[in-house]
Amino acid sequence: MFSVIQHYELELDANISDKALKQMLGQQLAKMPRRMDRLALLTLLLAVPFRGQLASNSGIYLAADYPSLGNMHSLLDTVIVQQQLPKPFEFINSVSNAASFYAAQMLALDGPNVFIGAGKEPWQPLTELAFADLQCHIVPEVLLIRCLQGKNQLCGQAVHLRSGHWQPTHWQFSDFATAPR
Amino acid sequence: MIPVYLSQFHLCSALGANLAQAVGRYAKGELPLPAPSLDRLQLPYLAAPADKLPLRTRLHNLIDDTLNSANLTAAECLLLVASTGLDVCLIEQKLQQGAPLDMALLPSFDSFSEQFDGRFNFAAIRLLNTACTSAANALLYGQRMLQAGLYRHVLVLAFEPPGQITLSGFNALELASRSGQYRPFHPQRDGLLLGEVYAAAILSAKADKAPIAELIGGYSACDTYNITTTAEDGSHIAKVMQLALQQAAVSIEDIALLKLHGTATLANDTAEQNGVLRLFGTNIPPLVVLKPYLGHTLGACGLSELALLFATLQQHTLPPLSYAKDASLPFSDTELSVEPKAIVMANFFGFGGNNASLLLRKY
Repeated sequence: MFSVIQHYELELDANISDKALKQMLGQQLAKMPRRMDRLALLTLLLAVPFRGQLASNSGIYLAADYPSLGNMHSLLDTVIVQQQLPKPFEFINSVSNAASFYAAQMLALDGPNVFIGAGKEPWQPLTELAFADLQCHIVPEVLLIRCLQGKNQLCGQAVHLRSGHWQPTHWQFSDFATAPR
Repeated sequence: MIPVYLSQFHLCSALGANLAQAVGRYAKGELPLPAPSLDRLQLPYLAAPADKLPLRTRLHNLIDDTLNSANLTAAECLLLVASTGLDVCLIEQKLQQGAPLDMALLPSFDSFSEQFDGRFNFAAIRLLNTACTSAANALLYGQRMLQAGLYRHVLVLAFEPPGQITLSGFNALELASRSGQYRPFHPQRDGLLLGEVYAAAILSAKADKAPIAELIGGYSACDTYNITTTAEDGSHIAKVMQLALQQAAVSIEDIALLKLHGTATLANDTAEQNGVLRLFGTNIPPLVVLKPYLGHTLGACGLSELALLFATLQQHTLPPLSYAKDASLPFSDTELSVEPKAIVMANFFGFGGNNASLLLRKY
């Protein structure tokens, strides 16, 4: 079924500023994408360890409990409260899977790229999408990323999988993290 | 890929409260009239017929109707929800009514899913957002998950209610038409008209639900060229269409009809035109664009446009493009018909580098 290549976890202070997140990322990237929101910054921090590890046609699958909260708050304030036009990139980030776009760009991937809204139980749906693509030979390998921003959290996990012979009991991060390598 | 069967199309759009009305008007080439949006911008907008039901009740009723017509229970289905806006319009309404803007007002994705959990008993619920390819990807992943044996049936729910953020966002990007004339691939196009839509369909591994189309394959990928536009030389679009053909084991000569994404924005039309020319050269199949009839229904267009197209093909010919002679691609100026079992390619593109191409067979 699967072969777990690598996994990664990150837990940050929920009060950390976007500027500090950019600095953390800047220490690892020669060139920083512009106009990223907080969800994109967290996604990139979770994806950075996988640079150079994935074939270009690999799939990337991202789950998050919320859209980027700061971005959505700013949009509502600008458009509904102040009755102004939004900043173009705030709008684009809100209607697309911008965070996984930036991750794919950083990882030089041009395969499938899917975002799902899921907070409490993201690993089963993420793994189903990846399993379907692996099973149907759409992709050679997959990167699954989960981001949490709600309930005063800022954390996430990521897993790099290929097709293999290991069958997890549950499609959960804890199983992937303890899988034989 | 193993084909899956599409049935029980439901559609409420600018062309009418139901699919039969929409088919009747589309077959006659009757374009809906845009009305000024209800916000201060008053941009031309293609609204669905007014319905006093709250959004959630409307979605619940649509799911009920779809399950009942397919004679399925929710427990037999995976629910795939495709929408860029979900219910953000409800937060907009609360703010307009004077509620203070507070972080607590912002709902989690789980809270959106829970409304269906409380009302139905689906095998699972997934919210999928890949911008304007959301519903196209819902269909593709529905097919792949059926093929992988994960579910027996998939109910795809695709909708885009009117919202101020969306309207003002496209206005800020200078992509919204001011003339109210929606003319993809016309030299004087001036952008897109947004459309309100609520659509649903059933995907099944067996042809036992009165199918009207087979999804035989497709491909979806991310072009990291730019977050707002795909490569304007059409290279990524051509690649996605080519990979879709490979996945479905179909050659370009087999394509009887190409449904273009056709947003009527300069960047998208240019990229799609270049992609079509790269792939098909001088052998371009008959072409169709549907956004003039439904508006750009964003994350839902992957389902709304296919519902209108295949339901119309069952009973009617397709109307010609009124400005075919002026268009930058060779559209037909006469009615189009498609034989049973003919193969249709359908393109859907979106922000975030999302490009998708689906291959379907008329049933």
